[in-house]
Amino acid sequence: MEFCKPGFLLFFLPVLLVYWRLRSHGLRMGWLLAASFLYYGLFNPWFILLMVAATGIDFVVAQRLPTTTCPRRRWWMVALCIAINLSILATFKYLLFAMQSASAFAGWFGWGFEVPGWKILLPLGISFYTFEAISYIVDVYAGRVKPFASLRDYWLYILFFPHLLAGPIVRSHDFAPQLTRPKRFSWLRFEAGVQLFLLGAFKKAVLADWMASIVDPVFKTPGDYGSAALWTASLAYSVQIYGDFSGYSDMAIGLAHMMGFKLPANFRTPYLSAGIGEFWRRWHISLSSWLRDYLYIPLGGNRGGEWATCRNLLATMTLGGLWHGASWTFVLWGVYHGLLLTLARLVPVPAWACAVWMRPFWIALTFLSVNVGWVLFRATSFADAATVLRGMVLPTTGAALPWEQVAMVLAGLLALFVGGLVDGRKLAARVPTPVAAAGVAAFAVLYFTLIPLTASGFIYFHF
Amino acid sequence: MRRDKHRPRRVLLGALGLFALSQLALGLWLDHGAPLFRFASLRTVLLRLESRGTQPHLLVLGSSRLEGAFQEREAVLLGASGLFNAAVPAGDPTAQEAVLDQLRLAGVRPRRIVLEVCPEFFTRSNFCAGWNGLRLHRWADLPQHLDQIAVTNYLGRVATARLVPAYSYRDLFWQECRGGAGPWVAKPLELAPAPLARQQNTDREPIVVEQTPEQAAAMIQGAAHAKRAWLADFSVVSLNVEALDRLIAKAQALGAEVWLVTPPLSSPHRALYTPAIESAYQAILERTGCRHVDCRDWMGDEHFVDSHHLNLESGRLFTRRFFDEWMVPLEKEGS
Repeated sequence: MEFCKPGFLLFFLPVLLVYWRLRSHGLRMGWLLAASFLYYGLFNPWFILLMVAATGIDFVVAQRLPTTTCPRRRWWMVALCIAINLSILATFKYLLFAMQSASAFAGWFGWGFEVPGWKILLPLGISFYTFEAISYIVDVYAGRVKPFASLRDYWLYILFFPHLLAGPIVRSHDFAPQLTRPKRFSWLRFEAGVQLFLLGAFKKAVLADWMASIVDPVFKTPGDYGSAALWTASLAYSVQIYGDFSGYSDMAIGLAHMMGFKLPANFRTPYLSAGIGEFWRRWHISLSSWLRDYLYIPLGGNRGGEWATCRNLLATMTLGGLWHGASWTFVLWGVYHGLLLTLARLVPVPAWACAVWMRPFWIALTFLSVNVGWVLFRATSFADAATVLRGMVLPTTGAALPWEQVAMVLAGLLALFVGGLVDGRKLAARVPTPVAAAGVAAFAVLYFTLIPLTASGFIYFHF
Repeated sequence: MRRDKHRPRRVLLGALGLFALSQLALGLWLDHGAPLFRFASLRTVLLRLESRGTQPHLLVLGSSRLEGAFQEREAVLLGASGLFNAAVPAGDPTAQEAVLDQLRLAGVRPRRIVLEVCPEFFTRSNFCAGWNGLRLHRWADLPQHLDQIAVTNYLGRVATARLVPAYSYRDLFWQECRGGAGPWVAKPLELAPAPLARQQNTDREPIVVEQTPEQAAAMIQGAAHAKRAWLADFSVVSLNVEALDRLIAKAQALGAEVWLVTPPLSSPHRALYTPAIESAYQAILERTGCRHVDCRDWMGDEHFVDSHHLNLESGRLFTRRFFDEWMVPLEKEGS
C-alpha cells in the first residue's frame, strides 16, 4: 500500500479523521501506533514480530544505560545492541550476497562451493529503522538524549508510518519532543502537508514512473542501444531516482505535517549543487548526515590529516553504497562517490573558478559526475554498467529512442532544474485565494491524468 | 499585508470542491455527451464496420470467446463474406444489447444474429458486471448493478471511475490526443449490400493445432479460477435474463433470425457445470424460443489457450465447422 496508490487514502483518511477527533494526547499517540502497526502488517505481518523483538531489546538497553555506571559494562551493552541490530540487517540483506561473493572468490582458487537457493524476504524498511535504532542507542550512550519515557513512544519513533519504509531517517532528539507535545490542528500546517503530499505524488507517480518506462528497457539490454539512447536513459534515470525518492520523502513529510509532526528535510534541490560535497549535503540528507555523525566522525573525520580524511571519506561512502543494496555495483557506486569527494578535496581550485559566473559550469559538471554514478547504481551487473558507460563515452551505433521519449526526458530535466529554482509555496501564497484553490485543483487533475498505466514500485523500498 | 488566517482552509476546501466539480462534470460528459468514449472495444467495432462498408448478413454478438471463434477472414475464404463479428471482451447480454443498439443506429440490418450465451452470464458473480460498470453504466444505472459489481470485486475500480474519471479513463484520453480511437457517438453509415456466399470453398488448407505446456497449465488454472470466482455459488440474477429478452426482441424487430450459441469450452471448464447449473441454464434458454447451438464440446482441449478461449488457428477450424454444419445447409435451403 504505497502512498500514491488510491488504496492508501482508504487507510489514511480514517486514521487522520479519528486521530484529530480524539481529545487526549495519549489516545492519539496510541491510535497512531496502532495505525502504524496495521500499516506495516499490511505488507507482511510476520515482520512486525521481528521489529518488535529488535526494538524491545533496544528499548530495554537504552533504559538501563543511564543508571549503569561501569563504563566497560555500558560499552558492552551498546556494542551488543548494535551487533544485534546489524546482525538482523546482515542476515536478511547481506547473507546470500556474502555467500555468493565468497563462493565466487573461492572459485578463483578452485574452492568454489554451491550457494543454497534460499529466498530471503527483505523486511520493508529494515535499513532505515536499523539506522534509527543505532543512532538512538548511541545518542543515549553518549548522553546526547534521554531514553524514551515509554515503549509506546519508542515504537512510534521507529514505526511512525510516514517514515517507516523509506525514511527520512529521523533522530530521537528531533522526534522525541514531538511525541510528548500535545498537538493542535492547524489549517496552515495541514495545507502545507497536502501541498507537499501532492507534489511528492506527482514527482513519484508521474515524473519517476514515466522515466522508468524509458529507463527499464534500455538497462535490460543495454547492448542493443546506441550512444544517444544510452545517454537519454542515464539522464532519465537521474530524473527517475530523484523523482522517486524525493517524491516519497515529500509525501512522508506532508503526511506527517497533516498529523502535526515535522520530519527532517531529505532533499534540497541536489542537482543544483556546484560540487560533489554540496551534492551530498543536499541529497538524501538524513542518510548522509547519519553517515557523517555515526561513521565518518567516529572513524576520525577530518582530524587526522589529509590522507586519513580521504581514507575516512572513502570508507564511509563505500559502506554507504553497500547500505543501498547487497550488490557489488552499489559498492562500486559508493567507492566512485568516495573518490569524487576525495578528488574534490585534493585538487586545488583557483580562486577565479569559484566566481559566481562559474557556478553554472560547476553545476553542470557535478550533475554529469552524479549522472555517471547513477549508471553504476542502476545497472544490475558490472558488465551492463560497462556497456552503458562505454556507449556513453565512445560513439556506438544501435537502437535509438523515439523522439517523444527524448522530449519527455528533456521536459523532466527542465522540470527538475526550473522547479528547483522556483519556490512554489511562496508563489502560491502571493496569488488570490480562488486562484490558489484553482491551481491546487488543476494540479490534482493533471496528476491523475498523467499517471502512467504501469506504475513501478518505490526504488528505495528495496533498500 | 495582514495574513488571512482562514486562507489555508479556503484554499484547501476550494480546491477540493473544484476538483470534485471537475470530475463530476467530466463523468456526466462521459455518460451523456460521449457515451461510447468509455467503451473502447465498441468504438473499434464501429470503426471496423465503417471500413467494411457493406451490410453484414450474419452478425455475431458476444464476448472474447466468440470474438476469437468466429473469424471473418476464414469466412471469406469459405466464400461467405457476410459475417461481421461484433463480439467484445466480457460481452454479456447487457453489453451485447449496447453493441446492438449502436449497430442499429449505424444502419446494420442483418438476416441472422448470433448471440453468445453461457451460464456465467446469468449468475450473480457474472464476470462481465464489473466491466460494464466501467464502460457502460451511468450514475442512474449503478444502484441495480451494484450488488453484482461488488461480488465481482470491481467495486473499488468502479467507484474510482465514478469519482475520479480523469484517472480511470486517462489511457483513453491519451489515445484520443494521439489521433482518436473511433467515434464518441455512433453515426449512421451507408452500408452497401454484401454479396451472398454462393458456394463453399472446398480447397482448404489443413490446420494442425498443438497445445503448449503453458497453455495446458493455463487451462487448468483458468478452470479453477472459473469455479472459484464465477460458478462456486451459482444463483440466477434476473438482470441479464431481462437483457437477453430485450436483446432478442430488438434483434427480431430488425427482422433478423436469432440464434443462441454457447461457445466452445475445454473439458475442465465444461465439468464445472453441475446438473443444477445446467438445468437453470436450459430453463433460461428454453423460454426464449430461439434456436440454440451448443458448441461446448466441439473442440478438443488442445485447441484452447486457457479454459475457455480458442487459439487463433482453432478459431478458423471452429468457423469452418459452424459454417459447414449450420450456415451452408441454410444457404442451400434458402436458394
